[in-house]
Amino acid sequence: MAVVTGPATGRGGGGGDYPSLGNFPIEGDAAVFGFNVPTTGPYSSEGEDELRAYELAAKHLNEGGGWVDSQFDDLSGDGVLDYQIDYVEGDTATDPSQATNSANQMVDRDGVIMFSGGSSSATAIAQQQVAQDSKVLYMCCLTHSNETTGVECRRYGFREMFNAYTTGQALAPVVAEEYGEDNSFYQLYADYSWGQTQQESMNQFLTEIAGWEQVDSVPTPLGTDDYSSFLSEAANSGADVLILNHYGLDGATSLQQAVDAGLKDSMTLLVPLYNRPMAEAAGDAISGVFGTAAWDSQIDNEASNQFTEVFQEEYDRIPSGPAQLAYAQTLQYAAAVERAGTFYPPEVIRQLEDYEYDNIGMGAETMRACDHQAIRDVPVVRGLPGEEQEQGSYFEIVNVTSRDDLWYGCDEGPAAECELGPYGDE
Amino acid sequence: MSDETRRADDTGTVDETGTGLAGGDLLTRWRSVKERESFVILGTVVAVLLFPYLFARAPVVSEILQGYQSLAELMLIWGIFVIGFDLLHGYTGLLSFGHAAFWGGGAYAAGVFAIHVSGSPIAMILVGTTFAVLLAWVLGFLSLRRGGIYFAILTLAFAQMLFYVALQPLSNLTGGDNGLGIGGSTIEPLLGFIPLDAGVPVITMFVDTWMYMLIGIAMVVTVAFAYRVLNSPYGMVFRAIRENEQRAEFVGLNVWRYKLMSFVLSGAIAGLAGSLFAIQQARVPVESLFWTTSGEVVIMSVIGGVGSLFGGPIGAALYLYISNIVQGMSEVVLFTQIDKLFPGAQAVVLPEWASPAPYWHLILGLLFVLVVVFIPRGGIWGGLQSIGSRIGSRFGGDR
Repeated sequence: MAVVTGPATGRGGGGGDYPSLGNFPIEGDAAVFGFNVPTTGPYSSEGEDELRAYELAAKHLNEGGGWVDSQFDDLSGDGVLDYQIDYVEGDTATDPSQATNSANQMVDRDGVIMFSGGSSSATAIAQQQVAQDSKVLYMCCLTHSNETTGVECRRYGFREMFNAYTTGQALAPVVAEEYGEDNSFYQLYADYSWGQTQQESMNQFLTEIAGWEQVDSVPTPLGTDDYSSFLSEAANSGADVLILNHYGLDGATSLQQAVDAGLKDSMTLLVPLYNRPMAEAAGDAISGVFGTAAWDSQIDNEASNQFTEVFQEEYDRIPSGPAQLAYAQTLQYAAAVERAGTFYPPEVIRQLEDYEYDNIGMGAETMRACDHQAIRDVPVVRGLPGEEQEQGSYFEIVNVTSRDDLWYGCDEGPAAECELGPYGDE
Repeated sequence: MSDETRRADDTGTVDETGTGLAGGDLLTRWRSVKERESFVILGTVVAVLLFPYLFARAPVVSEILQGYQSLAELMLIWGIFVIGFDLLHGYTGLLSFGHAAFWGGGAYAAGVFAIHVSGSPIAMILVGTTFAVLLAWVLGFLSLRRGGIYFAILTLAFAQMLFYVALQPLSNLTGGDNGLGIGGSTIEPLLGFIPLDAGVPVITMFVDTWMYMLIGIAMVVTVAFAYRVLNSPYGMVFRAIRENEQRAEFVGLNVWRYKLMSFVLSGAIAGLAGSLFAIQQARVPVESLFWTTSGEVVIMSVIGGVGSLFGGPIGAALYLYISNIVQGMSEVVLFTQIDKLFPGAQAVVLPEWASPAPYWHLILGLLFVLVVVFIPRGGIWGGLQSIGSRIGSRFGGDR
């Protein structure tokens, strides 16, 4: 759709003869990244934190600092391949149409060479499509739906975040051990791509691994303010466990309302996907509630601690899981460009495919070539009671489930439905 | 009209300098020419050709506007949609709050057809439009039994029904909440050999790609068709129904049939726009069936001017401009723009609150309120016309 016609070969290679494709070659002295995050809508607090991390990543790429100096040997801290990094920002408003328009604007008008963002799988899936059609790379940030690297996977999209499937895999053994095997559960889920796959995966693994039984699973509209009618039905269902498949502000609201309605005394609550802004908003309500999180500053290793430190220095606050994803994905792309020696998208993609790394604080990982999914560990967390919560510590890490116990083969589960599509240079 | 001829005659004798004579004469000719169908179509062609150039590529103008090609395409597509909507609302006086059904229905039909049968753009447009026509026939048949607010609510209800059907029961076909990903590679070249993203020879600078050409041609055809219908006896009946339904009935017209036809025509144009939307985006978001889409088209129509053919595209363009460009305009961008206009203002640094981006909903709301308060009859287009005629009468030497 947006083919920039320019010289057939570009400095964007720093060598090598590549034809123009998408927004390659880059015009001017700066390579522009696009950061397309929700700054309005139910996932806006995640979006704000992602944006901070993106800005930090761009700064480190240009001036050095953070992981650029310590973890990513490929990066120089003086731009990427002689180009300074510039960026534009957009608001997806947690809405797929708006996300598409905003991504098109970045690709078409601002000439971005890569864009990134997410928070809401439906918007990530929409953006991945723009990426594939316009041959501009998209690095997924927070998107947890199975479909992002399943049936909706794209050659021009890469996901670092794990998915609903592995959340189920990681959470089921932990809760089976904690609460015993003979339980029945009731689910509420956000009615869109992520919520649907999330509840499917919870059902699958709680039934298979934990031997629990599902009573019912009920959709709630995204952006619901009042969950009381859903919650009272759940309370009357006779189930032992209530699973709240909600995220962002919705997650904080539904959990808070469940606790206020006294459900925590009669049922066990689970929130499959957690993060810091959510926990902060839910307060004491999260006490003792199990879930998984993208990443947390309490994960104690060199890379994690470094990121927490530089982020805190810059913004005077503890980074959330989505922030770590945003930061890591931006640097990951830049490092792949350095390794490829060019911004030419197909070469960058080939550098990212089957790339093995251990430098973003989540242990050893592989960016699998068959579905562009990072095969990595999943942290299982449990909320702390209100009096033990302090700035930046709302939950404890129960364990970090090893990637060897999780995931699925390229021909199984969500990956079986994935067809990546062309590189664009065939 | 008789008033104008008299004025032109007068100027000859009254104005001694003679300039008034020439001016008045030209004006009369202009007034008669601009009503001609061929002129209207030619004007549309010129506007469609110039618009993307001015908006996305022209040296100074496009930089100030911050425009880009794919938004120009989107503006035209929505413009077609608003024309379709206005045919029903502005000319026949029936306010539908469910036009998302035809836009989204057309888009989904075109998209599903592309995935399962053929990705030919022309075939997609035909399928999408045909589907919208059939849908409009059924929904019109059911909704037109009631008038006024009941009609509006019925159309809204039917459209919402379709939205929920697409969201869940038919999610295997429609992609549910993820939307229907058609994919750019599924959409075949135009007529089998012209890729849509290839440049158009000779006029590349103006229109850029065949994608825009396709949309532009659809726009011209829509305008020509709507103009012909509205200026025929058939269109006269539409207006008669708007003015006084009972009187039209007493004259012996089958009002219900005319209303149904107006509804179907309107649905067909909305379906055409929807199919183009599916082709341009290579994806159909499920929100295209949601009531907000129906609301957007009403707002665009009111801003541009209810009951004016050209008001629609203007309203659509303004709405999309605010929701896409102003939405992303940070204070830094605004500052750079101001600096381009008035070089040397570098000393002024705009504070963060001066960024219009967070207020884009408010700006849109204000525009809507201003239009409704100051130019309720005719919107922006009506406003432009009255300015035009005021200038015209001054030139005409009217005393």
